[in-house]
Amino acid sequence: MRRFIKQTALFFFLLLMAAAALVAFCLTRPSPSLAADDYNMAWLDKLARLKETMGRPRRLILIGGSNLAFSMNSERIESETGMTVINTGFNAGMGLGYALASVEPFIQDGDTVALLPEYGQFSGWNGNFNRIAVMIDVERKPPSLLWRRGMYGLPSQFAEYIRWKSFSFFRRREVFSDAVLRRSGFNKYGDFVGHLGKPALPFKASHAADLEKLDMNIFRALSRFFNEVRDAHNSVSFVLSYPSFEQESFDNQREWINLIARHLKEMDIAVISVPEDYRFDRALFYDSAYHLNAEGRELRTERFIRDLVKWQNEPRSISVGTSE
Amino acid sequence: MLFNSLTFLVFLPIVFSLYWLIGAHRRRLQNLLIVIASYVFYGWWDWRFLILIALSSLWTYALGVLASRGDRRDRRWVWLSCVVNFGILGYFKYSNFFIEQFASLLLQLGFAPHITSLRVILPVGISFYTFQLISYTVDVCRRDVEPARDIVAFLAFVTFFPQLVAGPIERASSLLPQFLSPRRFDYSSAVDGCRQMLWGLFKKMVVADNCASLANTILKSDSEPSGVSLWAGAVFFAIQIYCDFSGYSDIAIGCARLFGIRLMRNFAYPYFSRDIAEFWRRWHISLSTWFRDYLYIPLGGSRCSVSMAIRNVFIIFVVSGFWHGANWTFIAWGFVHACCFLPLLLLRRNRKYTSVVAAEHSLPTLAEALQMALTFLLVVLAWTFFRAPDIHVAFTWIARMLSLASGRNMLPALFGDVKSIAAPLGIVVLFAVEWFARREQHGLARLPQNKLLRWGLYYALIGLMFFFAPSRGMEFIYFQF
Repeated sequence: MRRFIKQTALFFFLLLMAAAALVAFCLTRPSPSLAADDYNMAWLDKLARLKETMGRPRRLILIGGSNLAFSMNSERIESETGMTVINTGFNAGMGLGYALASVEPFIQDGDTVALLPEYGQFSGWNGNFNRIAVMIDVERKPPSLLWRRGMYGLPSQFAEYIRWKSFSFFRRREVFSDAVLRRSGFNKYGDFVGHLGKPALPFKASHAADLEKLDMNIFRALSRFFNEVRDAHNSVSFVLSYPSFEQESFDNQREWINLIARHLKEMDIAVISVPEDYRFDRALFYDSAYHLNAEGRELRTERFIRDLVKWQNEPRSISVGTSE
Repeated sequence: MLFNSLTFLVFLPIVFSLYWLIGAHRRRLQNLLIVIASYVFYGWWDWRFLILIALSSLWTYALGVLASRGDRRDRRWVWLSCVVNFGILGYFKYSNFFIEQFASLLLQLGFAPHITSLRVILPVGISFYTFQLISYTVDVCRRDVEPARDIVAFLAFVTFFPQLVAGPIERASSLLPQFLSPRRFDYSSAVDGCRQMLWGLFKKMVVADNCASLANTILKSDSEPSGVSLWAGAVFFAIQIYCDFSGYSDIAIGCARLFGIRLMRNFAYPYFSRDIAEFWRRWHISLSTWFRDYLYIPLGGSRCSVSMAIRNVFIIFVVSGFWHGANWTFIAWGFVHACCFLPLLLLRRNRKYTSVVAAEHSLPTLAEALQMALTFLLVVLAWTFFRAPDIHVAFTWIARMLSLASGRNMLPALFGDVKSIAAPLGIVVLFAVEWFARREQHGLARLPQNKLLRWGLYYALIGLMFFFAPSRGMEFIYFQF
């Protein structure tokens, strides 16, 4: 038995050493795939805009995943509402928790914060390994900050990050870095416009089976976030709307969407839209069930402005129901 | 709890340490630990079904004791045990199937039935532990095994966590005595167990899970895949199901050896079989021998008239298919195997290949290679039924595969990323390692004497698992059975 324990301990010690060396290598070497024009680097521009616009009155901060980046016309919102729009929508995989924690330091009195998360984001506050990739490789923040951004899921996400980073040394370009999906494809508001006018790419509809379990902690975490911001600022408003979603995918996941809508309705936040209004025909999408093309983007923006203005004019009239 | 999860990585060393700290001289305490650990292991998935497994175990234990009172075994108790255990299995696994078939029959007869399906959750591993319980009862009745008096040992026999949810389906005559006698820690056996676990994890995490992703891309596609793509999907599924299930068995057997327990072999390199009969001697051995001993032989086996022998073959294969699940696809899978097996039986060639292929050589002869390829092809075709969501889809797939129908060529879409080499690489490693280990119990049973080389191989396999295992651990296919 003693021999077995000694051998096993030695084996795992050497394994740990090898793992530590790999982790150190990955954390200290920048990803060769993250060129200056990589899609992921646009996150820095979004943070910069948040910072630059501080001090301006009536800001509208949009928070969500890539449904916002691809499918919202912030310039139009700005011109029709007179608000300064900052579209921080980027990558759902970063997790709602990370997006909110990143935006929080830049929130000021008088801001309107609009949350438009993807439905899938309600399965995990911390998203996936993308949050670690963005934090370490894009924002260049020290890894020691990781635990402060949420421990849940960290071990598996960190392992996935190390895998992703290791593989990135073997490929010349990142998955996202194709001809269209580049940092330069974003406009100054934070909208991705590089895909506008491009022919649609085939994509599969989302299915109910694609979903993980709904994470009830997200609703508690959201409430906590709202309360913390309200405590720190006098006049910050929060509104919630829904992402653009392809019709078939929407129908496949209707039960899940209704459940989310029901829980959001019970929160202390103005839910200004109904999910069905953002269910669009497949012909209006570019490359995924969340990414609209130019025509769809305008339609979605128009509906969002309608909902936002209605809420601004009659905040107490907002009554939200689900399709049940 | 999954074998390929971080939770199990913590769970196993804790249970292992406590088990050997208790010491071999306190056998009953060790058994109690096994029972508690097994209940934690099982309850991790859904604690409510612990009640079911506990009740089934206690019921079978009590009836075993009752059946053995007096000089003669009282068969009534045995029947009662079988009826109750099969009843539980039937309710949880087959009730909806029979309700649906009944409703469909009524509909065809012109009635409009208002029958709603039951919302029954299938408890993980119910088919496995139920079959183990039934074999115990029958063995007690046959006097092949003495009824257990030590209830803790009996519970350990039923719930032993390495094999609880997906086998091997153990016989009481083999496993129960091990819980009734002291276990000694054996260094070589424990090390070999670790190797077998490592090989099982590699098969599951690198080969099975990556093949699953490729097979699903093709077989779950919304567009109509071409015949060649379907062939590729079916081959990937064939490799997936083998690596998934035999990987589980390897982990289970290896894990049991860490506790000084020997479980029966469940797979013996089935894809190196030269005909279907050999395949069935090498595939899911614990189930096929179960059906042989408790169904086929009692029915008369092959030592009866030709018509009865044919009937028995169809019964055993169809029931075996139905054991996997309540769907016509599984029944069709069993039927196809019966059709492939029957000619061998009638020509008395079903026991032609009982030894390892190319036993004296390192490579097979051309004839052997062709035989293996043909057998694999038949098995892949049969797996198509097994994998299809329903019987109509299965026939459509088969027709498209056999006619090499045109359609969307999905192969280019499968391989576009660095990680997509995982499945082909894993398959090459799998077949190479298993071919050279085909005389051994598992893939890593015979390794170089040089420690540096040996450990290098272990680290290489762990590295492959780390880099190529899908980020989200997948459940083992056989959990659903």
